[in-house]
Amino acid sequence: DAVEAYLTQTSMNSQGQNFLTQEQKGSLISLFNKYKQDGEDYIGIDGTIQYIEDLEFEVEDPVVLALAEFLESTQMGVFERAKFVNNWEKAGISSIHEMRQKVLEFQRSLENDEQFLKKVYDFTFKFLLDNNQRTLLKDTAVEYWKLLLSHYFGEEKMSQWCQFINDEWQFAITKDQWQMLFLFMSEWNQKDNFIESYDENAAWPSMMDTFVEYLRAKTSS
Amino acid sequence: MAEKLPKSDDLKATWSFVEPGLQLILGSDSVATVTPKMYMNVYTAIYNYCINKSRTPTQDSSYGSGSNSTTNASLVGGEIYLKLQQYLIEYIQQLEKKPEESFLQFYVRRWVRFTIGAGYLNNVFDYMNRYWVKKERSNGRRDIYDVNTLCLLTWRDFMFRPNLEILLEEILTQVELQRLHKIELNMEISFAIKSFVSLGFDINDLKKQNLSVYITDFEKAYLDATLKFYTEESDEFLETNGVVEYMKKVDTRLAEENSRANIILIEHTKRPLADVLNNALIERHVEVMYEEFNNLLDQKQTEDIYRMYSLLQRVPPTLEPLLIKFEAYVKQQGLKAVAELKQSQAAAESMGAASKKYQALLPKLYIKTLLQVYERFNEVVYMAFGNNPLFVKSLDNACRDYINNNSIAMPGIDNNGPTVFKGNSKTPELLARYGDTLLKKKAKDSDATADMSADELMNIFKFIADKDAFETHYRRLLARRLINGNMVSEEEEESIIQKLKEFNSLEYTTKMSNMFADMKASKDLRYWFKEQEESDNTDLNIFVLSQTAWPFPQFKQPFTLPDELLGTKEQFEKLYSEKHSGRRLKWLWNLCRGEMKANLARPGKPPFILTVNLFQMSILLPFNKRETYSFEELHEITNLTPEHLESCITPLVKYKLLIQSPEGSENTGKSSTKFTVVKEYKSKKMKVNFMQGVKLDQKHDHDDAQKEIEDDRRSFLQACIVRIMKARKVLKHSALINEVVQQSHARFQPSVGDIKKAIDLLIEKEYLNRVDGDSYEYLA
Repeated sequence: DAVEAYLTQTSMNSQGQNFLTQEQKGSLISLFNKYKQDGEDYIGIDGTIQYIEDLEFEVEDPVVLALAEFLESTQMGVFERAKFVNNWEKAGISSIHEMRQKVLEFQRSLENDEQFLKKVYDFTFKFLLDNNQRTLLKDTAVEYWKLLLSHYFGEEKMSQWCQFINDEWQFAITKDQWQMLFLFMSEWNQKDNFIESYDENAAWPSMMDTFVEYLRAKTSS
Repeated sequence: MAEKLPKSDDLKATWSFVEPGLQLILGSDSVATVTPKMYMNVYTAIYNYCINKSRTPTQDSSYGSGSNSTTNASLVGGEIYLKLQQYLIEYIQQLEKKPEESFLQFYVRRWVRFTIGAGYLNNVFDYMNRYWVKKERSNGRRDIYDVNTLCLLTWRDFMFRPNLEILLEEILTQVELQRLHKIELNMEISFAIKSFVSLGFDINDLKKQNLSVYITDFEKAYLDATLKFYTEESDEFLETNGVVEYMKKVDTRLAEENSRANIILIEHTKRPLADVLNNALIERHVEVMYEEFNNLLDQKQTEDIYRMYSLLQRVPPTLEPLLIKFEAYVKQQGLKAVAELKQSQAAAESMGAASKKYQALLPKLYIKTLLQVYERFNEVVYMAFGNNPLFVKSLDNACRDYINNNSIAMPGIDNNGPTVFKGNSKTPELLARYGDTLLKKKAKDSDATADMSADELMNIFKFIADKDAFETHYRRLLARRLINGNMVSEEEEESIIQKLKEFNSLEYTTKMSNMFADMKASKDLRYWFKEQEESDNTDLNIFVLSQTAWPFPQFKQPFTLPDELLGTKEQFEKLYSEKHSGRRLKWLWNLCRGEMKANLARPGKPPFILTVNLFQMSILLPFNKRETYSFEELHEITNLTPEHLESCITPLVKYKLLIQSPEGSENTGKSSTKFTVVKEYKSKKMKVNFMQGVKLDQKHDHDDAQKEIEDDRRSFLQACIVRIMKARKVLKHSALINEVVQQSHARFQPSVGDIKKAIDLLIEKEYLNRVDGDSYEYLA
């Protein structure tokens, strides 16, 4: 229809080059239409579940967050038409099979590319927030920390962190705390004696001070 | 001696003529003495010789040869110089020691005479000195000297050098005997030592003093002997006499060595000698002195402490450990004094003394205890350390430590073992309460504050780390004094605030000054209201206080103002809002009190005056209509919560104004319990105060104050960070922390953790952003 035609047109012109042939673009759009919610211009929760199933992944797989980041999803279970079509098109991808290959690539990156992991991780904070929310409930945070970081930084370190949050921390998680945790984990991962030589006077958020104090108290008793 | 002068061109004759005179001038053992005539003859003979020869062409001679001979043609002296040089060697070599004298005595005797003679000889050969010697030297001959120098050099090479060893040994033996007080100080050594100075020459400039002989041949040996002597003596003396006596000994020794040095040594040796003495007598024994230091402090031996200080001060680096020990000692004494006070308080309480009374006494006892320690060591610093700024600083550090952190200021912490105090110090609050005790009107026992003073308060104030906490507590107590009208004197109050302002800042006392301003304005307002008022059945003494300056939280509990007072209240509100439109009045019922006339006295006696709080008044007023009310009825009338009602009614029952039925405090708060007003009140006093019995929620008050302090700190830190970041735009984490600590210093000591929490919050509020891992940027 007219809207689709318009989208097709502008997308190609603004990019100045063709990522997809007219025909491929057509099949990308019909793929979107297959999953999109009736009467809306986005893929909703049911469509998302179906789409991920067709990509042969579990909904709980952390790679779904990478996919959400790639498609600039603003909210769980929502893929907007423009973002969906544009981002796949820019990648020159139009079929479900190629999409699966791309997602498999994300999966490898999550395992061995710290910069990529950080990008998906930082995205996740905003992705998980409801409208007007500024902080993340600690239970939600713990769930996603385990999901995203356990594999990369190690089961043991992440479970120590999550236990600390469960037992000792009484507040919701701020964006700064979320982002700084990744750097904290990364340093902990790389440096021997990181906890022993941790300096409370350094720029870490005070939450990390509390965590280190908690760890030291635990190991000394 | 020949009377007739020799022929002026005959060297041999001339020399034969002068030689006997030379012997006399330099000193001989014969009885003959130098006469003016003889002196003149010798002088003239040499003069004639030089003059005459100068006029005729020079004969070749052993001196004046080479390229100089032609230019030298008119100046003569070489041969006679050579003769003299030879003569001096022979003269010195034939000098002999008398059997009864020591070498030193011989040396000094001869040296003294020889140097005088050398001076005269120099004059005798004046002409030669002035022309021939001068010419030779200006032509670069550095081995030709004026006659005086030639004498000294010959002495050096033929008397001094060959005998240096025995000379030095005898000098040092003499010095040692003096040190052992076996002989008196004598001038002999002094002359001998001065000869070392005279025998040093600068070959290029004979006028310049050169200490090379003195330094290499004498000074070093003298210093070595000194070091050895005092090393041995001090070890032994300390061993047998102990540190205190030793320090006195050192004092004496240093004085002795100083006066000896003034007499026998030259200025140059003073510094190295002091170093040697300091090393042997002080540095080698500092550890023993440090060990004794605490004992001396224990025994208050100010004089010995002063002695130790003045000894150590000679070697400034040795003071450092003493400073550390002093600081630790003062701190420990402070902690000990407070622990003892705490113990005696606990003992008194367990003996059954009223804990409330002790609570009331605590601020005074506590501040007095802190002060005693400070004053004791302030005096030590003055008397024993001469107010040395380093010790003043140590004392300050120690005081700041024990005054803020001790077992009373931070209870709940075991005082055994190394103590780590955590949490907020109670000292600011106790000091504020000390001030309150001092400034509050006392009902009885008016001597209790006789030994307290504003100066004492200020003495402790300067050590308070959390100045903000003191301000909060002090202001809260001041507020109570102001509205309860129980200040001793307004001038005293204002003078303390003035001092606090001078010590801290104008800002520090702003709120308190505003409170005084409100008080004054309220007074004017009361006069004004009295003029306006239509009826005056009540005497209204009202305060209008600005909410920001005063520490009173809003009254939020349920309460119904008695009808009797309602009219006045409404009238005031109406008139006030006409006068100041836009201002909102909130009533602090909980702070209101009043006096009631009660016609409960025996007939013919004047009525009682009852002092009650407003709630008690609202409880009592209904009894004008009826004799008996149930608790439930009073609750309905006053609308007070049952707990509140109970606490207000208790003193009325306790002091027998109301009769409770059934009796017993467990029944007071039951809704069916009945209260009946007595027909005739029995009291010796005409004025009865029922407010004292009302349980005050002091804990609540304390928590309020603590909360206020913490809130203020949080907002102070945030404001401080924002202010800094706004000016700097981007700043490193550590630099920001430092600046914040610095800016907070006058108010309190923020922990890095507190500052980081404030930073976290500002990041969350998007005032700041992290950049480059350890810096922040300001987001406008």
